[in-house]
Amino acid sequence: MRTWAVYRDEELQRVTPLLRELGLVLDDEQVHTRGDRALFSGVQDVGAGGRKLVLTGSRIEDGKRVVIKATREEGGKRELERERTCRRVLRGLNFARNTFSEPEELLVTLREGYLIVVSEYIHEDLTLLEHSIEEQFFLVVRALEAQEGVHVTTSSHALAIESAFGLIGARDYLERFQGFCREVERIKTSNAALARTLVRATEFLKHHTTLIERYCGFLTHSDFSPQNLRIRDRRLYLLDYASMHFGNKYESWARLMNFMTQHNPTLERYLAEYVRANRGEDEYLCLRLMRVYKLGFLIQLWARVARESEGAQHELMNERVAFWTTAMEAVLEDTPVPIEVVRVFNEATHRLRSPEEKARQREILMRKELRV
Amino acid sequence: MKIVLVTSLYPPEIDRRAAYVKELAERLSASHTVTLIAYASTSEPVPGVRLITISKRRWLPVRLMKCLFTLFAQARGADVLLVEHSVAALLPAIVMRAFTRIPVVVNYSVGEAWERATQAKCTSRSFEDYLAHPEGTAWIRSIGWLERILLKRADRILVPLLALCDMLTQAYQLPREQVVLLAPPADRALILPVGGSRAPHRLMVSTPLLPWKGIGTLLEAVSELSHAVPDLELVIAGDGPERPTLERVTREHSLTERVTFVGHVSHAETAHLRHTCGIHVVPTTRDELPFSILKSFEAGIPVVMSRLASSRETSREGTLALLFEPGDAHDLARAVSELLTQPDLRSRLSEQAHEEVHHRYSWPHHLHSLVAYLELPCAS
Repeated sequence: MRTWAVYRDEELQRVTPLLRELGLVLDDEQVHTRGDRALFSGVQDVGAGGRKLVLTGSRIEDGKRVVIKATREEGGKRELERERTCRRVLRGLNFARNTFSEPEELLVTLREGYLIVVSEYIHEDLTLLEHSIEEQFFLVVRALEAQEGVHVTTSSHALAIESAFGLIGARDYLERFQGFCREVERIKTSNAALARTLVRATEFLKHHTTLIERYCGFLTHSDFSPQNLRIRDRRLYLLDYASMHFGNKYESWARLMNFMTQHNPTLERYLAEYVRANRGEDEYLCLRLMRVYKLGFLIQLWARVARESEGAQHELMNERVAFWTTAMEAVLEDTPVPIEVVRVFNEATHRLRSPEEKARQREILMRKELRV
Repeated sequence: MKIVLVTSLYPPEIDRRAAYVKELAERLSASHTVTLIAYASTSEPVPGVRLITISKRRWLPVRLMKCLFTLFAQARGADVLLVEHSVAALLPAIVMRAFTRIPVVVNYSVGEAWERATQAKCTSRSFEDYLAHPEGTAWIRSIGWLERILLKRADRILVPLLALCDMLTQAYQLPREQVVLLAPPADRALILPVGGSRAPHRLMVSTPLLPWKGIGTLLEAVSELSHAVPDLELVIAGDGPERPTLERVTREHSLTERVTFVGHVSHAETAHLRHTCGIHVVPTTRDELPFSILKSFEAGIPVVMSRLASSRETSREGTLALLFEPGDAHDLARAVSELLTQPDLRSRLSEQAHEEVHHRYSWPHHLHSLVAYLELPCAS
């Protein structure tokens, strides 16, 4: 299999003239094809998990900014089709209380074996993290509540969504988590502390499967993080519908809060306080369970990449495994990750990241320097 | 008393009625024997209450039969069946009643057919208009037909507003004594991790953007007031088919600097907007349930609302909030101006409204009234 860099360069060369024929021109800089993007190609927590190019450009006729997804790999095509199916099904659900705004789909076509999907580019004046902390809190809660408003309760609901989205329950979460643990054990056999933490986490999940199951059946986004959220004119746009499924309602919360552990601990704290104060101890516990689950995914992801990388990237991946293990321990203890630990990790990340990845992160997260 | 409570909505379902039923069951169980039968695929336990769930994943006829059999098994010796209104909960209860004569009391807040039609976007009418002009698919219309038949056979129907009493008795030809008022408990106030200071000249409205909600009237009032109150602003929380029209009206009145459409927002953000505004305006031209208004009363936010039967009732004839003629922008501007320029009036209304919520719309008062109705001989 071609490395990501080879895949990217070859596919770009092939697809660029096709896009021109379709009246599209690419930006000179394609940040979404570089940096850590390579690590995620084909990796999918939910969905088909295929490789594809995600490009930015403009329509020649009117200069309209666009996002172009293009692939000729079967896995990539399945993922794109899944995303389109999920969007279509969600629009048609009669039990969805409120839906999200979504980028307008401008073109879908097959050209010389490539499936090409073009949608509007949602320009943001400010990324999520560039808003005030209060605005960030309300924006994310808005998106999370919108997901919670889509809840499968009856057999007709389940029938409407199961084939498009999939419906997972407590047993699935536990089995997947155990799979993460087995993978980590295989890779990091000498890390006894990590092994103990994962054992403890597994017991934590096993002990509360009834609680996890209770809050399943909700629309959830497995990669709910700022890179998949756009804000324009106070409208929220959710991206990457292929990462949506019906599962535990706190899975989205968990992904976001784990992300904020590193990037905005204050927001992490606000969200935790909000759930605990207004939804009760059971739901707060469910949130912690989902955070542990999502941290398991992260740890196994970075452990796998660490094994396949070298030099600065290898060191960075090991730092990530260590940090997210600390985060998992903190969630198990229901304590915050010490701010000094976060600061040290962010400094290490900044030091070890490639310039390409730094550029990609700036585009996604923050154009200003973020200080924790 | 032995009370059997039947409901189609139960936590973890996201609906205020689901949370209400759970809390009601728990509070009733302090003094009575309560069995709760809930259509639910998963459920939150409630201490002191025998909870029996019937999975919603079953085929509808199967779950209706299961509910009926469960009622027969559980309701022996029951003094009353208290049904949280829905056809799926009421139908088995009425059948049970035919065999056992156990009275059926319905806790009614909104029509199911209208609610389904609204969610399916088959109608944008208010509930009041919908009763006169039902719309929707054949399935929705059949639910409406069943509602009418089943409600006639209930012993008592409890509604949260007198205005709703009148609507139902008229629309369904029900005896007046069958439909009675039960003031609902106010929703619990959200605890937010973020604060904010109150902007005294900020108006707020939170509602779906539909033609009969009166937002156009509010925009005209803001336009009229803007010269006298240079820093007047309006935040409109909500979304709907009327939005493009309202945005156009905003531009035409040169109000784009004063008026902000924030779209559909979360409960948390609505609470925040409420706490940071100076006045909550409810310009609807149709009778509505009071829950949003009660939240403002609870938060000490002065309220201006259109003079309708429901708002006259909720505001106690204008002693808890200021009223204006529906559709009359000048009268609305007058009411807002009074609140902006008379701090004593604002304080008095807020204090009285806050006290009202903690008395008439409190859980103890609600329970006391409910139990009194349950203990009364049947209306039929």
